[in-house]
Amino acid sequence: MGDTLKLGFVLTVICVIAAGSLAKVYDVTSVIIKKNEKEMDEKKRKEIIPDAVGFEEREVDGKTIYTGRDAEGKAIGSIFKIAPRGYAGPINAMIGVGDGGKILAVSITKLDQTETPGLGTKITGPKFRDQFKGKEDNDLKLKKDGGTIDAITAATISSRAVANGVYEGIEWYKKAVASGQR
Amino acid sequence: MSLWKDFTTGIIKENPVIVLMIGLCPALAVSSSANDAFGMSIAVLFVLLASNIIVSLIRHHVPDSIRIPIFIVIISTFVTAVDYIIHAFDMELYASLGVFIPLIVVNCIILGRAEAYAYKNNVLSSALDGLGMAFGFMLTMVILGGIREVIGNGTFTILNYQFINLGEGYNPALVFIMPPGAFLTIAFMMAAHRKWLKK
Repeated sequence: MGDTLKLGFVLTVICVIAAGSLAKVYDVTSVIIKKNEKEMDEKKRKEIIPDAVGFEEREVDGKTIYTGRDAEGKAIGSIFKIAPRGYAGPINAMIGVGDGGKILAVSITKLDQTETPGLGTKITGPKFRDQFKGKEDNDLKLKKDGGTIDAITAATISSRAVANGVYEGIEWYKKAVASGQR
Repeated sequence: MSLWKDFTTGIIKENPVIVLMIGLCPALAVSSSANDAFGMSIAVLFVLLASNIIVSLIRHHVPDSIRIPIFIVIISTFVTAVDYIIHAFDMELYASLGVFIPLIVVNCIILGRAEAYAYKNNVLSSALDGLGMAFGFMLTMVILGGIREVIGNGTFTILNYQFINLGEGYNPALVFIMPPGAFLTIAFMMAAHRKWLKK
């Protein structure tokens, strides 16, 4: 009995020290992580709508939409996030929509996805993403699915995930806009 | 064993991946790019060194019957700390290594050295053993990652510095950045070690 207590005691002491030090590391790093993520998001929004003087934030249907306005207060476009399921996990993309539901830009960086290096990761490249600019509706789907987007060779699943994600994102946005919550 | 031997044994003679054949899973999984392989080996270096030192420091106070749970608690604490640190200071590496950072906990190299060496030797020897094994791991990883990346992608990049770029004209053998390529490459590395380095 005394032996068991001693074992339990040693284990408890070690666990308490471990948990305590880990909590300290977490305190320091979580601040940096949150700050980095916020900065990354702001940077992406500026890249999608470079002419925007400021962004107006609002919650619609559970999602946050950022509307970029120019110096006169006129809305240039709106930005929101999508997270379609890719080949190896969610792909966190940011879409910019302009007048008439046309895509301004699709932003995906290396950190937003976990696709196969050298294949699926090509969705982060301008060659793939720029295809979406200026397009709307069914054009946003892959050529194989009736649209106009070229899939990446040997990375159809990743490509389709992005294309369908963008398409469904725009459909959601148009409904949210139409229901008067512009 | 002399201190120098403590350090050098893990690099070539008893290289953890090529000779002892432990830690193969993360080695094969993250070596599709030289940079990811290098990043993983830095994380392993930190955890291996830290865990060997701590285990060696407390080895006389750890009751034999619960030593494994205690090793695991120590190792997983360091791995979790490394996870937070990489996430905070190198988000790109964090995204590339993904789930393989937490998997360092069950990387046989770390638990294996804690049990086989750090638990039975003094702090200095244990630290050197950890350092040597980690450098052996790093050497293997960089070579493995390098070969796979050059053949499979035409480039060799570490820490954003591109050492080799075969250019647009190079038609890469994609199989090398996929699992079969990993197995092929490591098989040849092990064969080469057997033939030329075993004394």
